[in-house]
Amino acid sequence: MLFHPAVRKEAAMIEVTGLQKNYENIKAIDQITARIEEGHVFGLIGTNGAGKSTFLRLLCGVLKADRGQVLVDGERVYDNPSVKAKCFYISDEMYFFKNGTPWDMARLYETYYPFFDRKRFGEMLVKFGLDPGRRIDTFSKGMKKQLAALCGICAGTKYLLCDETFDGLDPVMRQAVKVLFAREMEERGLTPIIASHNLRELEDICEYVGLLHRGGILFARDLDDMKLNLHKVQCVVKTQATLEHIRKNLQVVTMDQRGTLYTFTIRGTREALVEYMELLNPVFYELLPLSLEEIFISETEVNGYDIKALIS
Amino acid sequence: MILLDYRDKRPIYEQMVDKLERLIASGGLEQGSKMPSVRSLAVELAVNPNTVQRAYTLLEQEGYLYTITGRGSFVAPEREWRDGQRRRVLAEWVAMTRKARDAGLAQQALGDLLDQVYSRDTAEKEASRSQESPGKLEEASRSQESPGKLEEASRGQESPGKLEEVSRSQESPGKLEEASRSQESPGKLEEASRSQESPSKLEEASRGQESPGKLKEASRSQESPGKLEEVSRSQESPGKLKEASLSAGLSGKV
Repeated sequence: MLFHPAVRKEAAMIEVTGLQKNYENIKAIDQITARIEEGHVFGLIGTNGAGKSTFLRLLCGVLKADRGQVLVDGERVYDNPSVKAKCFYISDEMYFFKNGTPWDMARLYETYYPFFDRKRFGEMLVKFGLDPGRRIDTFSKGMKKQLAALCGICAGTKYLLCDETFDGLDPVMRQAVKVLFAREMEERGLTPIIASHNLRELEDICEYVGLLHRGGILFARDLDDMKLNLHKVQCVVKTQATLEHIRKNLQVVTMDQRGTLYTFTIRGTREALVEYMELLNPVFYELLPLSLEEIFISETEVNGYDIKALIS
Repeated sequence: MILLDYRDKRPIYEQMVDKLERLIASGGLEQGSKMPSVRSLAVELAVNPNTVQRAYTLLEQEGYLYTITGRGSFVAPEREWRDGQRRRVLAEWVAMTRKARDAGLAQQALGDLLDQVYSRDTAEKEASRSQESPGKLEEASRSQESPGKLEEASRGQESPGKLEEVSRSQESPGKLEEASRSQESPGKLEEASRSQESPSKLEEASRGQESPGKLKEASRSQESPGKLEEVSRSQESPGKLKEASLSAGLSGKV
């Protein structure tokens, strides 16, 4: 089912070029160029103050860039209501009408989002245990978060920008929202862009991940590629010669040593690494899988950032 | 259909492929049966549909599934994926062989194991007749099923680590006595294997917190040049070891 007119394949994405946004003299977003393709899940990680919210707001046209541009499916988004109708931003600061009820919010969103599905909204509220006619200011924080997520899903937009949406949900709700995403992605090509602190979460859902740090994207890459080409190996190294041999023949990204037990992060395929280790034949060696967090830490240590202090 | 382990560090699609392969290879999913649609599996597992698609594509490449456009994906007949499965099993073998080597086991020990496994039918019949004990008994035939992973420890809660045992039987592949042991030992049981001469290494740990029955194990090693780790206490001798019970605190080496 097509919710929006078909877009040229090449343009079916959110494309950002040389994006710059300053707040007074702070570079909130500093020269970012990136592409977020439709039909995939893109994750955005960054610490507080890294610029995640600013970035998301720029993507959906809430904020105007100082430099550079944001194209959504080939068209500029800022001040362009028809294009803005393709993006829904679920803020982490939930803005609801002061005395409003969920139904009031539905009425508001319907005016902006032509595909807002009121019927579905009602059904989901019931399923999630939220009273559609009750004042939102009587909801708990968690319930408000759930409501915000539901508004976003029922808006029927192609791009859904989630600003730490998952972070405030309990595990059951998180799972439920993931299920909804799965369904929407299949049914209407929903493209979620999820900003989060929670690396583990992102790891499970996202295919592409970008690390935002001090306004810049450190890298945006295919998650599985990252995992396939970076490995951790622990082995016993008894002589300096062996150490040199390892350093010379493998792409060592990081190295940690405790006595004769070394832990290396190596770039390359698993097969190549195993082959090398077999030839080297140390007394002991073991390949360990890397978590997303470890991958980031390794990659950023290389870039000179002490990410350990930043990532919680 | 399958359960994902969120703490597993492997990518989700890899987990999915692994589990579905096992289901298919074991016959859990029969040849010709229809796989759930990408969408329904994604919804069921609460994962990104692209991940499911990726898993399905990989399974198709490996011959486990075939797709009929417009109708869905189906489990392929065995001949399509058997080779692939064999390759995988061999790869696992390589890894286990390395582990055995690192544990100091000689090649001979593994060779004997292979013999044992391939003549398991006889053994199974014999072993199943001696069932005296209460509680779960896993007998010798079990060791034949898991040649690589002979880790058996009938152990008390306190047992740290894994126990590896190489059980051999010279003459009587069939006659393997089991270890009947206390109800408290959860997990696998160890079995008694009799081995007349065990030139290579025999690591055996039979333990139990309170073993009401007798742990008969005859691990005999007159000449054991390599490492013999045995946890079994025997007053008398190197020869037959009849082990009754071990205190929980004993760890593994005598």
